[in-house]
Amino acid sequence: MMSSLLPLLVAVPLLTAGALVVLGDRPRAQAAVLLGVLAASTASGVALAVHFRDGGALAHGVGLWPVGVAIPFVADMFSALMLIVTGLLSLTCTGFALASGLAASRYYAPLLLVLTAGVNGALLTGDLFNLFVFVEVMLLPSYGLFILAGRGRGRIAQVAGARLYVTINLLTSTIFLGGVGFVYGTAGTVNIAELAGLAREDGAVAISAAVCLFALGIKAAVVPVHGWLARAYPSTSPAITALFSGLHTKVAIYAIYRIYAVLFEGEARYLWVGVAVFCATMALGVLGAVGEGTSRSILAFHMVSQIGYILLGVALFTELGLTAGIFYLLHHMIVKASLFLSTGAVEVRYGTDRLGSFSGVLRREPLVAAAFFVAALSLAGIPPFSGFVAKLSLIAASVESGQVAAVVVMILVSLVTLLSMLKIWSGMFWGAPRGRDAAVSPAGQDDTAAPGHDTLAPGHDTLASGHDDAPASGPAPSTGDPGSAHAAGDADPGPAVPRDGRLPGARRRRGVPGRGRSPRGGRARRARHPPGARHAGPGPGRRAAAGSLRHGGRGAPRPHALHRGGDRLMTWLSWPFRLLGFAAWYAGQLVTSNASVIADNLTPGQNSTPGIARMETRCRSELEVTLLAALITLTPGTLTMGTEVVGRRRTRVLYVHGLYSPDADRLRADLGEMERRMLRAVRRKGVAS
Amino acid sequence: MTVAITAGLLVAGAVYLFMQKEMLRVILGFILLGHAGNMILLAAGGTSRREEPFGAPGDLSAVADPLPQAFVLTAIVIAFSITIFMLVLAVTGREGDDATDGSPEERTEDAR
Repeated sequence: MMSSLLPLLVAVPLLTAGALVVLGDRPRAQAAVLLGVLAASTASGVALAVHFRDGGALAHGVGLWPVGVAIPFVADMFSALMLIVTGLLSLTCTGFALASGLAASRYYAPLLLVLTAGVNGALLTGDLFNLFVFVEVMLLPSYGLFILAGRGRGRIAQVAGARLYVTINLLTSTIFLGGVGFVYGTAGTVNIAELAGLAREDGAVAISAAVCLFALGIKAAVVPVHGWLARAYPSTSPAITALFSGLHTKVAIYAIYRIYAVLFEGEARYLWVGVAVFCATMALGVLGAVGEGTSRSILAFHMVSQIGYILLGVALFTELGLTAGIFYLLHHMIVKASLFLSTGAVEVRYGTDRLGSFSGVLRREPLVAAAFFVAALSLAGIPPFSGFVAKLSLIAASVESGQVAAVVVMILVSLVTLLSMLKIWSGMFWGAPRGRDAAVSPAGQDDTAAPGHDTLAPGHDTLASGHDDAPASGPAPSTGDPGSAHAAGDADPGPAVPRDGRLPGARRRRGVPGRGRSPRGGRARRARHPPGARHAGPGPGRRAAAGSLRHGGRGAPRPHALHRGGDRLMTWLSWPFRLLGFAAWYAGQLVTSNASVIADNLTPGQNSTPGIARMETRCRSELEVTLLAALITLTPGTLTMGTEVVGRRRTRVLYVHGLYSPDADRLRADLGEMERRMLRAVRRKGVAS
Repeated sequence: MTVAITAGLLVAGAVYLFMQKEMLRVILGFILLGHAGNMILLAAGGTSRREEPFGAPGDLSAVADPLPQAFVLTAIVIAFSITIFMLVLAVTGREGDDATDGSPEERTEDAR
């Protein structure tokens, strides 16, 4: 019964993709359907994994046609695990794409669904030719995703990368197709199950299958045919790089595992080739990263290196080796996507991923930095993380097979990997906050991740095109410009920028009615969606940022979805951590206040100076004020006695009885601190005002 | 043998065109290579030992194998769609930018 549901994993995404195209430009509905289908696909992967927990496999021929005619679907634990991880990756990358504005394109959801159908099909197919077809189904939407960009934000680099990507993939697919033809010609079938062991017995079949493996090797970016990956991947958008890093090369690796395990039955004669090639892949990949200067190209080269590790598992072909390899594959898909997404978040925010053009992300966005740090350590194989387990088991398997050279290579490559990760770390995250929004960083620091940085959105567009658009960074209008005054209204003094700049464009638009369409505004507007929005260097930009911000008030057609999206993403990502952080802080308060009350009670005499303070809160809802009152009451020494709502602005006021504060102002200050921390934790946007 | 020689010639032509700089020639090369792939698939059906599937043949194993032909049909459709997409990529961007080889950082002009 369950086996006949397997084709749904391909059919549902495909049909939904078609339906979404018909649905048209309705971003919310599209996103909801997309997430729903992806979640369902992941869930069916989980169901399959549960089903296979004691081993076994499911097979189904579509339409119950006889074997050889039907389109065969086969599932086992390996494919179930891959389904889960690819599903999770697609979900995560879609989340990133939604937040960074990429998914606002009406083509994103349909393309991603076709991609999902292709990936699921490739993971479940039981037929070499259908593998080719599903890989093509997977690649065709990928070509579209590769050059997908927000309106007017496409770059020629993306097209150039897509040219390389499409040609290399078409070449590879044609070679694979030829290999499938050879297999059919020599073995008389392309059903993987019927081919079992044939390559081991028949040299002609072995060579035919080797053609297929070679083609898959190009797709997986194995040295010496790895060059395309490091060139193509960094040129698309960050979300897509992360998505492809998790799906495409990994499907090829999955197919290599399958084909070698079934067609060759792990024939030991050819294994040395694999060990040699994959060790070279590890070493050359990691060395290639040394010369790179942008985070994504470094990570892309590391991908090559890691692919060597993953495939070493199949080249050892012992039980331990295969287990280690498959574990490494799953670990790598997650960790690599995490690295690409965390550096991608930084790139979306700062507009470039060139190392050294800014620094101090750690101070400004500790959560992103932490995500990168953990993933980087895991990639290098530092103990508490999954990479350590993966590498250790792979090393154990190599020792078991007597491949000492491979062990040495693995350990050395790990060290170089760590160095490379440190290079990104020091070039992006470490150091004093510096970059084109450095001027804003003081404001950014006392708030959480969200505010502060967005202000660079307008400035940074302009400077992106600054090379030929002098007017864009020209003298700012008078400081009395209502727009900037409005925008800066609730900001810290100093940089005339909105502190919670989530909606800089929108505010300014409201603030400057009727001033919008001067000729210069028009030019600035053209300048704002520039080619190189993401490749802007620092330099004149920083100077221009403040001016162009105000300038941008006129003619800025819309707020920058990309940057606003980046903040939304950040606030969503950091929310749980802020809650946890506040819980920890509050627990500390509980302990200290308890201690002081107990100490006062146990020692002779009373030190208390009881009094009641009236405190105007910044709470905006009943829930917040109730929570605050409860928290105040929970800490010994303070007690909320009453609450009222006053004034037209409906300020919520608390009356608090305090035991140990010398005067009401001091008590208010203490409570204000607790309130600020609480509001920053419970509000998704993390603003306490 | 005819099929093998044809496929060989097509691949040779494709490789020659791949060596050229412009995207358009590379695409033409891919058209040739796609045909070569299709030839290989057809040859896999055993063209030398089988007959045309006309009339009412007594021995089914002696007429042309339909499976590789189905493969070829699928492959043609896929190659066709990708060729169109590559042609679009070739004309996107500025004139002559497909013949240069800069790093992505150097090519930051507008894509429109």
